[in-house]
Amino acid sequence: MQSAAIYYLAGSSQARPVNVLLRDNEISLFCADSQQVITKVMLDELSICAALGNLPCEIKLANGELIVLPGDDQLVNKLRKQLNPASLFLANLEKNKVFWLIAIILVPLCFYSLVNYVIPAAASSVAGQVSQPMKAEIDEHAIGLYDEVMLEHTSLSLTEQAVIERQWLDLLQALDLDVNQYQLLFRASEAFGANAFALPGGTVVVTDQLVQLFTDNPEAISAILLHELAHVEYNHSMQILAESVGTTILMTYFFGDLDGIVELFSGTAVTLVQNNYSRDLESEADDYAIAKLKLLGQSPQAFVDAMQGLSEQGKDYNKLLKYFSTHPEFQQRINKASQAIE
Amino acid sequence: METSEQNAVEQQPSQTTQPVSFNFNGKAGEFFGIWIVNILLSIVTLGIYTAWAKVRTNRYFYGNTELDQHSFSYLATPLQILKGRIIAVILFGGYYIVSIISPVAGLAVMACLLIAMPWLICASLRFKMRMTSYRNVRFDFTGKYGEALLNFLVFPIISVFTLYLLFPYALKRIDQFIVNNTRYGNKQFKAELCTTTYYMTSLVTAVMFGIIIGIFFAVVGNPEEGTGLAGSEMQWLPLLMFAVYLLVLSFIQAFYVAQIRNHIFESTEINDLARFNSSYDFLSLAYLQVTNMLALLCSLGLAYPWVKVRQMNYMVAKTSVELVDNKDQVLDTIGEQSSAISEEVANVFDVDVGLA
Repeated sequence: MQSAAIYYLAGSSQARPVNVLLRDNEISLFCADSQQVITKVMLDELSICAALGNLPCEIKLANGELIVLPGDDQLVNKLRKQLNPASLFLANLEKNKVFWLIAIILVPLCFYSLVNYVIPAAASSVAGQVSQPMKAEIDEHAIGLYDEVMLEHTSLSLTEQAVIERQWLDLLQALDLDVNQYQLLFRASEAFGANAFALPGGTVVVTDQLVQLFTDNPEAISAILLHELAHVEYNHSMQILAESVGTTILMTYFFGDLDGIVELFSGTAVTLVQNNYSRDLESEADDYAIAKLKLLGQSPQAFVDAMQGLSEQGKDYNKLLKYFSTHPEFQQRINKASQAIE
Repeated sequence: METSEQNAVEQQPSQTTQPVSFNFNGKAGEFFGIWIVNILLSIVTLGIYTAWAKVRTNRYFYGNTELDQHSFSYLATPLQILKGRIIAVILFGGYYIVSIISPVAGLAVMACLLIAMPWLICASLRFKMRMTSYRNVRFDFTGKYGEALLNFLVFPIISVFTLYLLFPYALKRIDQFIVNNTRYGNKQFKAELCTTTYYMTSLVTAVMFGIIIGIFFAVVGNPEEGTGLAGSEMQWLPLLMFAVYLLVLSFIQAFYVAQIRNHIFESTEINDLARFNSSYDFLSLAYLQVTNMLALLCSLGLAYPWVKVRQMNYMVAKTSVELVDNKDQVLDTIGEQSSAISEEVANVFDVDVGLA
C-alpha cells in the first residue's frame, strides 16, 4: 500500500509528488508518475515530527531532504507507533473531549495552589538563603536612596527621640532580639504621612507624623514597632521580593503569548496576586504584634488604638480599590485585635 | 504619490507573478484541546512544559498556514527553547534582585541592557526567521547591530526631543529595517516605505485619540465642578475609565495597524519571486479586536483558542500573495543552527519586536 506525499530536496525550494512505501525497516520513495524508485531510507536514518492535530506529517531525512505526508495517513500512523509512540499519546490526549473537561476543572485548581502554596513556599526557602550581612547592605543602599528622594531630616527634639528610642530598646530586650542587628531611624516625610516601615536587615523607620499622632499613647507606638519587627523577624521583604520575581516570570510564560490589550490584564493579575501576598504578610505581622503585646503584659488595645489612629488619616477609601491595596482593611485588623483582648 | 506609481511601473519584476492560494486550516476546537493540555501540563510541571507548549502552538499555526498548497513549518525544538528559557529566567531573576538590592547597580544593568537591546532584537528576529521554513527553505534575518542601534534607539530617542515630530519617521525606519533585512533562502525582501504615509497615519491617529478623549470628558464631566456623574457613581469611575481606555486603544490601534500593514505589504516584494498585498480595513479590524476582547472577558479566557484562530483567518483572508512560476529556484543558504537564548531573553525582558 503506497501513500502519496510531497518530496522536498535539500537546500532548495524544489518539490515533487512521490509515493511512499513502508517495508520492514525501510521506506522507499517512488516517482509518482513512472513508479521508478527514487531513494530508500532506513528507519533509523529519519526523524518523524510529533503528532499534532490534523497537521501534515513531516519526515526529515539525514541529508536535509523532507517528505510531507497527510497527517491521517496509515503509513504515518504505523511509523509513529514504531518511532515515537509518546507523541501519539499526547496528541490523543489533546483530542479527548473528556480530558478537556477534566483539564478545565484542573487548571484553575492547580493554578490556585501554585499561586497560593507553591510560590510562597519556594519564595520563603529562597528568601531564607539571604545572609544577614547582605540584608544589612540592602538596608544601607535602600535608606540612602529613600533619604535622597522621599525622606527628610527629622524635626523631633532629642528628648522626643530618646523616649521612643528607650521604648524600642525595651522591646528588643524583652523579645530577646540582637540589639546590634536592629536600628531605629526618625525621618520626616510628606509622601508617607504618619507611617513606619521596616527594611530587610533590621532598619525600622518611623516618621515624625507618626510619633506626633501618638504622643499621648506610647503603647500604640509599641504596637506599631512590634508590627515592623515582625516583618524583619519573618524575613518578609526578601519573601515578597522572591514572590514578585516568581509571579512576574509565571505570568510572562503563562500569558506572555497573549498580545496587546490582554497583556494589560495579566499585568493587573500580577498586581492583584502580589498585593494578596503582601496582605497575607501584613496580617502575619499583625498577629505577631498582638501576640507579643500580650506576652509583654500589654493589652492588644494598643494595637486597636494604633489602627484607629491611622485609619482616621486616610478616610476616603474606595471599595473598588480594596483589591489593589497592599494592607488589609483597618476594620478587619481592628476586629482581629479586639478579639484578642477578650 | 505619482512618483511612487511610476517607480512601481518601472520596477516591475522581470518575471510575471500569478496570484496563489493562501489558507489557514486550523480549527478553534482542535486548537482548544492543544491549548488546554498545554496550560495544564505547564502548571503541573512548574513551567518546564511551557517550552513544549510554545513549540506545539507555533507548529500548529505555522503548519496550518498554507501558501500555494505548501505549508509553513516551525523548526525549533522544545529542548532548544527550554535551554533559552532557563538562561533567560536566571538573567531576569538576577536583574530583578540586583535592582532591588542595589538600585545603583540596577541602573548599571539597565544601561547594559539598553546597549544590548539592538543586538537582542536582531538575534531574536534571526532566530524567529531561521525557525520558519517554507518548501524546505528557511527564512533568515540579516540585520546588524549598528543599524539596529540607529533605528531602535537613536531615532526614537531623538524624536522625544523633537516633541515626537520625528516619531513617525522613526517608526518607518524600524519597519523598513525589519523588512529589508528579511530573507527567504537566497532571496531578499525589499520594501520602499513612504514617509508621508507614516506621517498621515500618525496624524489621523493622534487626532482621533484627541476627539475620543474630549468626548469622554464631556460626558463624564469634571468631578471637581460637581457636574456630570453623581458622587456615588464616581466610585465606578476607575473601572469605566479602564473600559473606555481599552475601547479607545483598540480602535486607534486598529486604524494604525490597518493603514501601516497595508502600506508595508503593497510596498514589499521579493525580486523575481513574490509580491504582496494586504486589505485590512479599520472598521472590520476594530470590530474583530473588540469582539475578541469581549469574548475573552466573558469566557474568562476560555475563548482564547477561538480568538487566535479567528485572528489568523482574518489575517489570511486579507492578505494576498503573487508568486512567479519557477518558484522552485530558491536556495537555502543558511548553514549553522542558531540558539534560542537571545529570543527567550528578548521575550522575558519585553524587547520583542515585530511588524505592525
